[in-house]
Amino acid sequence: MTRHLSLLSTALLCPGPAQAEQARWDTFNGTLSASKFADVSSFTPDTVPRLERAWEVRTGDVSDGSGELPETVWSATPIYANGTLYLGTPFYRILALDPATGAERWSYDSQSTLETLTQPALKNRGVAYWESGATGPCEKRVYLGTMDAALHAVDADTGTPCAEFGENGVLNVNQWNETNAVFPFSLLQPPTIVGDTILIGWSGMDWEYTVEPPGNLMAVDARTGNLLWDTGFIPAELIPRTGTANIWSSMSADPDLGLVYVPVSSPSPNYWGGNRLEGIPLATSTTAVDIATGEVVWSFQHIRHDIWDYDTPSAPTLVDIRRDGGTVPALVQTTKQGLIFVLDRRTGEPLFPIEERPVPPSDAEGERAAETQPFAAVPPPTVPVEEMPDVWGLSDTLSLGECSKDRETHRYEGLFTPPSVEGTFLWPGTAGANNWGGAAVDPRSGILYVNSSRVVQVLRLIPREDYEREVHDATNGSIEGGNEAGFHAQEGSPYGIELYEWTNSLGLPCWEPPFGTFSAYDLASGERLYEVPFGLTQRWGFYGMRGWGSPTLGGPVVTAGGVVFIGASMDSRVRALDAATGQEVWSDIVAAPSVSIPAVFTHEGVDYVVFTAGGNSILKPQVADQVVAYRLGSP
Amino acid sequence: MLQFSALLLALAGVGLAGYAWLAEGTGVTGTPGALLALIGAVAALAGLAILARTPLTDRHRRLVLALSVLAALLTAVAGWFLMQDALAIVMALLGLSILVIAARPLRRTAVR
Repeated sequence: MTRHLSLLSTALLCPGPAQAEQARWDTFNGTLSASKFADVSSFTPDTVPRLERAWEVRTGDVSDGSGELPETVWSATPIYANGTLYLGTPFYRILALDPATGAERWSYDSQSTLETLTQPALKNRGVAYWESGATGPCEKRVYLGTMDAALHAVDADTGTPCAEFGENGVLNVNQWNETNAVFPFSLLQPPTIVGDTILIGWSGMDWEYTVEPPGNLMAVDARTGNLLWDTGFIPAELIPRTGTANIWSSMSADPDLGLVYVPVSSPSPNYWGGNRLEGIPLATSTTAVDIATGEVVWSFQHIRHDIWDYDTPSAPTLVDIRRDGGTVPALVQTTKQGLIFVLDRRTGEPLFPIEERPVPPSDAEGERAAETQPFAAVPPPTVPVEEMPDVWGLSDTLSLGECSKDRETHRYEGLFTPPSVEGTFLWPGTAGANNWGGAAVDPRSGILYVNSSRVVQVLRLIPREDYEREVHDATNGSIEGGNEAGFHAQEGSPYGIELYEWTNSLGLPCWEPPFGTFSAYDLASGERLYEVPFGLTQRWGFYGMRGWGSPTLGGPVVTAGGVVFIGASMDSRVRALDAATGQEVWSDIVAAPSVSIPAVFTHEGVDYVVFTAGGNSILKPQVADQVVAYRLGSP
Repeated sequence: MLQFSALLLALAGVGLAGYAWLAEGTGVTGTPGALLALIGAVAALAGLAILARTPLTDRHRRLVLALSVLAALLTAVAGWFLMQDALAIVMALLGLSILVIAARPLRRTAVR
């Protein structure tokens, strides 16, 4: 009954046709609140079957890794601002396109090195936009980060570098990489801009080394690039022994409260924490930082002593929720481990009960896992975290019992079972139940929408003395090929690791479907309204059954008309779902999985939804360089 | 007449499978699955061509018919899993047509 009332309220709150419009979509998450809500009412479950391609652009910035260039991974949200569509590419170029036709207005090439300095692929998640409110050159700017730690600022009208920013328009962010600098600060995620302050996090490689650059958040002046403040997340006494706890994903902000909400990741190395037993309170957390001073105002740690690489993957979603006859300014954090934390964004206090539950101990050398971890039962997790999925009968039968045998061999004692030498089932896997796409929320109804993956991995600690030999054996002598084969050194710790998906010899998943779902939650009650399989798996071209769903990367956008737009699925389709039921009402085939967040906006009175289709080898080995815009055709 | 219709269906199947494999935006462009479907459709067409053009003994005729039906039906299944509905329908119809051809009595004049 409650479900029906909630859905009814959504329907009642939908305004009439063609009234609302989304004038900007100018951050990675559309808006600083990361609600991914587009105030566009023309897209409804009844009208979206009429969607047609307005235009399509191929950027040319793509590589499948078979030639001289490394593979590309492209997850850019198209930015709509200044009457223009801006995109960053994995070759670190900026494109400015006409939103109505896709025609190129200008492009800017950062001339960045196309080397995989910190990542297995060339990556980009887009650009950031700023405007001062004045007129003149560089009063509107587009910012692009690069793998080699440069932040470029160009004029939004012409693509000309803004000379007053950094050195001739290029800020060397690596100048602040002064401690444990074993890799550059890779700027793959566009920075977050609040007022005239650019907030910068970075990506690294926390699976390779024990001692790495300590995670921090840097604030620079949007005009000059001058450093305003720099806040670190690792206690000073631990910095010589560990690193990261960085911010590689997007952030959200509440300018009225003067706070930026940062998803802080796990410390290094990912899967062994004997070097940091004291605990790092700000690691694997959602942390609120004062935008003016850099002071940490509050922090909520989702995982104590993270040894699973369950780093906080997305900007928390800001929404005001109904509570005791009033509204509470809240924040919703989806997580890799599948738990949803709903907090008061003023204080970090939980708005639903959070229980500290005992979790299994570690038997790894020098390790001491946390005794308890926080669990949120309300809202229900996005995947069933109480128990990992059963062995899939089909896969087990076809492999003559291989999966059942594995199930008895590897360690699993519930969520937060520590990594082990015999192999631990990692459920959910390190790509997360939820990842950088985060959740969308309709602020009018307080209903949250989220896509989730159900993937089981096996994580095995390999004693240091055996590591090189094992990698050598597994890669026919190519130590450099170890990463692709799932090996990571964790240099400086007693263990390297091997990480792989739990499949049988035929390559079929050993765990029961569904492999991916789409869910809606009423944030006032914490109740899950529905959960449906989402997307389609695909291998060698063959599609899986609809009920199996697909693992997903990328996020949803919900519109005022009651439609959710989302790519994310393995099968290279972009879809529109009926927000009230989660059922598919429209889809189109694009060139590769759209592992990004779409942009939904109104340009010259016409509503558009724009997807980038770039692909990601986590889903399947298919990459592309496609931008596709849709608008409604004639009735 | 039935044999001619079956040949047309097989030709259509080859065309649809080729399109699925080669054309942009089919969702299965360049995939091994689409190539397999194309090979299956070509195999079914080849079987029908052999039946139409080559004098065969009963045993050989039955063998070619069986292989052609198998190729057509497996390609229909592949087409279904490739989400190529037209290919799946055409190849299923082709499989049924070949079964009907197989069920018909032979005119025993061609082979001595």
